[in-house]
Amino acid sequence: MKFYVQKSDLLTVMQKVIKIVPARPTLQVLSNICISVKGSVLAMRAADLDLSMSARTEVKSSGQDRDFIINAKKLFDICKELPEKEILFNAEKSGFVQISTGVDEFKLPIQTADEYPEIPSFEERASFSLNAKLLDDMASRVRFAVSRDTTRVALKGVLMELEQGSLKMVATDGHKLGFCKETGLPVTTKKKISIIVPPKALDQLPNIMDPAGGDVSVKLGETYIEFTVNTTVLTSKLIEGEYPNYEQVIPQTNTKKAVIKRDELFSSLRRISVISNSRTRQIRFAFEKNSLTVSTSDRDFNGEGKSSLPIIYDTDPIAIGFNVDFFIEILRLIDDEDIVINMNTPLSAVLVLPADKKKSEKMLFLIMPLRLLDEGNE
Amino acid sequence: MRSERTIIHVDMDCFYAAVERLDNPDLNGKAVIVGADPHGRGVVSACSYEARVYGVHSAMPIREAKKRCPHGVFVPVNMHRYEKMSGHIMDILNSFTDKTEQVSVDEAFLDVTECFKLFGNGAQIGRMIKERVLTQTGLVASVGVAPCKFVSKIASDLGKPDGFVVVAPDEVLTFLHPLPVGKLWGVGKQTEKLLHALNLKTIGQVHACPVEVLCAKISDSSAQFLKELAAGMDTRTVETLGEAKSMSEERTFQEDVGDKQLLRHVLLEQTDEVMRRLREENMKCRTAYLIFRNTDFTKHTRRTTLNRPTDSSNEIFACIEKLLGQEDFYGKKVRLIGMGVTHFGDDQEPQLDLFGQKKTEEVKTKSIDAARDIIAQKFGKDTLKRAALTPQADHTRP
Repeated sequence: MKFYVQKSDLLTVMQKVIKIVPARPTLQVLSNICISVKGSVLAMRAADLDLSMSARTEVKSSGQDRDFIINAKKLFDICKELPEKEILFNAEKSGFVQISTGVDEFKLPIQTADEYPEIPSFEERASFSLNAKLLDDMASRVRFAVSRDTTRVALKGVLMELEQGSLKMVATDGHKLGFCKETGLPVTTKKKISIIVPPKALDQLPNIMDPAGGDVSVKLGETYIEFTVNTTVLTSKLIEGEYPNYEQVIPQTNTKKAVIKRDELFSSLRRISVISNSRTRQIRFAFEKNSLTVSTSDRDFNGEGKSSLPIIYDTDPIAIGFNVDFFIEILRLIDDEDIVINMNTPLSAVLVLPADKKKSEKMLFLIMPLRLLDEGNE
Repeated sequence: MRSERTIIHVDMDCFYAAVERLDNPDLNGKAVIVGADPHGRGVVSACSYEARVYGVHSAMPIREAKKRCPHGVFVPVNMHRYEKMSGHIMDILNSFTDKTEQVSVDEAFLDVTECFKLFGNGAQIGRMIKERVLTQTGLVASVGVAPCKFVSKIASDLGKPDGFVVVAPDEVLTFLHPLPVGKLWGVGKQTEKLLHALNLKTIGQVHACPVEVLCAKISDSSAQFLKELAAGMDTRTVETLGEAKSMSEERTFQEDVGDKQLLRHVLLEQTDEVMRRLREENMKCRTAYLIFRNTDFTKHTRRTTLNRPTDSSNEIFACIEKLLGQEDFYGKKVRLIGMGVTHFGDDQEPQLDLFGQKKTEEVKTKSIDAARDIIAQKFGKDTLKRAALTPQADHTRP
């Protein structure tokens, strides 16, 4: 079998699937990609143990249809450097493929695809579609809160909940929590479905998205999830386990509310974080009538920092400790002029929201305080 | 007036064997060898003086000991019993001064410089320690009293068994100089050879030897160090015990093991024990590690860290089980398996947890752990065991 393919077409599909090829594969076969040519369609596929991606392009082929696997990195590095023209792949002899452009000629070993992981097929429980950029935005809002703790397996993923046309995404490691929600989606079922998606699958969303915009269709099964954009398909195993009841930890009533300019707080925290202890990352928020003072001191370095800003706050003064990095990360994810901080006590979960009502229905963040250990001495 | 610095070194005579005799008086007068199974491939941990006559010494392969002293009584190591006795002895030592440095299970230094008003001079305190240890534990301690650590250690050793040697400040050089160089702190077989090559046989000769001559054979810093020691100078202070940095359990198998179920079983037992000790100290840990030694003797550790401290046996075992599950032991069998915990902290972890207090499962296992600890304390730690650790257990459940 021989086929001709435009370099740019080949590179477009390769750039997508190459990202799935594991840098240090657990199985040697996974350092390859699988190419299958059927008539005028070339499908290229990469897989690791949990994730697989396939993408297609048009070719001009002659001879029998066939599948083979080839070292991903070598092929990619060659293709990148080839001139912008039609490339000929000749796989008529067994054991290798000849790649020629008229000027260059390469010979690369190939193998049959027998031992390469199959595309998982699974039964659909539900499907929906939404704007790909929107789904990626949701994923990025919660991604930061995914746990790295290997013992709480469920928390190592992002919870996706489908119910009555709404999609909720949640991630938490117990110290911080990100939540976002989209409603009015065309979902094929009214039943509530909860699944836990590995973050590395969501990380691939920008990679499969059409730069010109458009939707991604999402298909959910018992143990798999599949994202499809045009002819690119990303399939991932789901994380098994029970996600903790996150709704229970979102405080329903809040006795203290502060409204703060996002940008001002963001730059204050960035400055203060320089001095914050590299291990504890502790900073102190002191709320007083219409003013907030963020301060920190680092005993190891023997330095101190303090920054004050005007806010809207009209209840009893309160001082709360936070990990400055968590707070900065949350502010980065809120695209609103003002933010709202809802508090109860220095030791209970603090809610951070965009001030805009419409936006705050779509996202919220929780951050657990740091106990201010030397509070008595201050 | 400031008293002369006075250091006491206390070293228990044949500690393991003596404890065994305490528990079983029939062993008195017999050659007692504490260590691994005499038909296995372990080593001698300790032996009585009766056994030493036959050339048996600690760290000797146990089979060799059996060959040299076939009539000896071979007793397995009961470390927990020794540790308990060691605890008693340390309590006695601590009743003299808090400046104690426990070097091993049966050995400690005391700085008694500031205790003269309370108990009398160094020699008197040394006597009191010997007597008190004997009357309260029935064990014999050898004691050395000297103005510095290393001289006191040599002194306690020279008098053994049942030693009591006092070296006054003005006697240090006359005491040290006739002794062979091998007695110097830090001089092992290799350095001894080098010193012998310089025709330096005694500590006195080292003292007399110019430092440049020593430097020809050994490093500058060691040469300087040895010169100081030979002059009876040792400024090292008695380091009071720092807090433990990790806790662990290990087991060497008689035969190499490939069966993961068996390893899991052993690890579960070890986790229970380590976590019990951790809770006894009112500590929590964040990191759990798995230790193994392959048939080729290479030792490896694998670790995992939680995002909060815990003292739960089940939680740590979950980590260990996970590490075990991922491990292929390089395709080899395992000679030694163990686990440990480190990265200690306490409840005062500043970062609060969203799901902290709410997990009922956590509360349940916590009370189970607490109940087991009480039972272990009252009736001994083997009274109550997990069902999975009974011989007929189905090894697939925790």
